[in-house]
Amino acid sequence: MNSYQYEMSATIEAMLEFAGWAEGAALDHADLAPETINVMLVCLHELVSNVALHARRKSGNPTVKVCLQFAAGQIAVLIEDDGQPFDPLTDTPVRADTDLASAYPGGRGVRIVRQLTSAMSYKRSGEWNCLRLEIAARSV
Amino acid sequence: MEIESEVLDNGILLISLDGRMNLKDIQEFEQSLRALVKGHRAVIIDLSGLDYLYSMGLRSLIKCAQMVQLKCGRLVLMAPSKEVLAVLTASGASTLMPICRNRAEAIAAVHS
Repeated sequence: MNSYQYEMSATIEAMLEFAGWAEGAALDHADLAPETINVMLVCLHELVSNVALHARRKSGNPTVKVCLQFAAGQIAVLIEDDGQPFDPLTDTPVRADTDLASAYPGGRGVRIVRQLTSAMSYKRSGEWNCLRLEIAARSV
Repeated sequence: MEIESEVLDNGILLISLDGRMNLKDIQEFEQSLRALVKGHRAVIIDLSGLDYLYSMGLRSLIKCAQMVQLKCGRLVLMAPSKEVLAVLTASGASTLMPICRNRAEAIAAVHS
């Protein structure tokens, strides 16, 4: 199993460098199918940008720690942040889309992640939100 | 992210997105897209050059589709990659905007 770790201050400015790191980690695994890489990058982007945009602390920006574990057939992703408690599994209800006119344009990030991953779990550990994802990894 | 636009002979506005969306540019992207779409009733957005689609970019597309619909028009999406299509489907957006494989399909859909 190959493991990668990254730590950042959750700011919009830091997202670009983080995205480059995540893509580099994925590209180290030449056998990963492009759609699997896409799922991993989209999920990381949605969840880390949620912290950068919405998480609050009494002082300063939250810290985000990301761990990626690549194993045969699966990528495990652990995202930890020390922002305010936030469980995306219960705090983000999915709004049903009935038609375009009444559709809510935003708030679809967690819904995308839930649809694209094979498992997702959350726990609060001390001052940290800990989110774990499992992504089914297809090979080319 | 590059945004190009042209008005086709039949009056349809064709917008092409090329490259990668990022969080820093998303406000500018949405403002540019809304300015282009304003006043048009038939809009095709070509996604074939888009590397990744995130929810913030998707929000801009849905807002623009709603703007066009308010003018009794239609906005359709064209030629997303397999990866971008997966996000459109997962988000539920594929039930809100027609998604067409090519320009001929998109032109037919925008007038239907």
